[in-house]
Amino acid sequence: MSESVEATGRTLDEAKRAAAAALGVPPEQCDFELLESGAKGLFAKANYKVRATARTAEPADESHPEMAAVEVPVKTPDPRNDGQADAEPEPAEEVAANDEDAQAAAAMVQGVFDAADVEVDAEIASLTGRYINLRLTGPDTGLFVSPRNPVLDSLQYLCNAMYSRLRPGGTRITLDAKEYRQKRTEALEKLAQQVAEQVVSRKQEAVLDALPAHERRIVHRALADFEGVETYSEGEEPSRRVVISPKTQ
Amino acid sequence: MKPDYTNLVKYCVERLVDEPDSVSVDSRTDRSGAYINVTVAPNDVGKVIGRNGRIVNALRSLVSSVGAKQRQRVYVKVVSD
Repeated sequence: MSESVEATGRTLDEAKRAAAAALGVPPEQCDFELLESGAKGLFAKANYKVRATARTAEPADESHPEMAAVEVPVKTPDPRNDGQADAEPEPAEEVAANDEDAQAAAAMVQGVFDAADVEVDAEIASLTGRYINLRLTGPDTGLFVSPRNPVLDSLQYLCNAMYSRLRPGGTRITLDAKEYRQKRTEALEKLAQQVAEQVVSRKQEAVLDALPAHERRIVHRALADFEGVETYSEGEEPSRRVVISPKTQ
Repeated sequence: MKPDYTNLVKYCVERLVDEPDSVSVDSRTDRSGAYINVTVAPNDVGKVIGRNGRIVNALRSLVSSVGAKQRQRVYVKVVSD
């Protein structure tokens, strides 16, 4: 009788170790079958999925009774970690924005600025998966971007509400101006690191300020590999906050 | 110089509703600011307001930023009934 389990991990190795641990046998004594690999998605926590089957005839449980007894921390997606929830619900099939989507998005956003009679140009910066990344330039751009100013986020939200009606299908717009997003990402990653270090040294959880969904995701991602802490979000939009807590066990 | 917020509001609202032809936007300006009233088909009111008012608040935030250039306060109201 060969038992088999499925497990996931960020790397193939991690998935194998998790599967072996769940079986209670060392990884060397398992056969692995790769079920899924390299699942895409910005917040892919589980990139690899393997099925492990204990290979040896002798019951592994007896050679390693303690391994079966001890609750082995199997790295499976933590339901409490809402990284997935912060991500947009992934459409069933992979959605990728094409040039036509991007042109329509740029034209629609440009229409907003033209209607407002402000000098801002919306240009296509890049396409990443389902996201159409638009860059705003022009003399009046400053009206919509300033430090800690959510207008850019509001505008992005509004544009997506309009855009999803214009072109249903799951592609989305992101707006950036004056490298705001990039600077913000860097600042958030730095903040996440600093707070995580404090969480580890004080063994106390820390709650960050309320952040919009895509910024929370940056924090979750930044700390996904940080030893000794785990992250999740709590509260309701728009005051949903990331909590960084010391890893239990 | 009097910026035309109605154009902006109309552009956005028309793209949020099922019945763009029923959208009408009028405005009134006094010393305290510009007041924009948006009227849409009864079934479309929710689409303009959004969950927890998110959409109309995003629109207000956008219109206010444009108004800031003229140092003018802008108020957007969705008329229901």
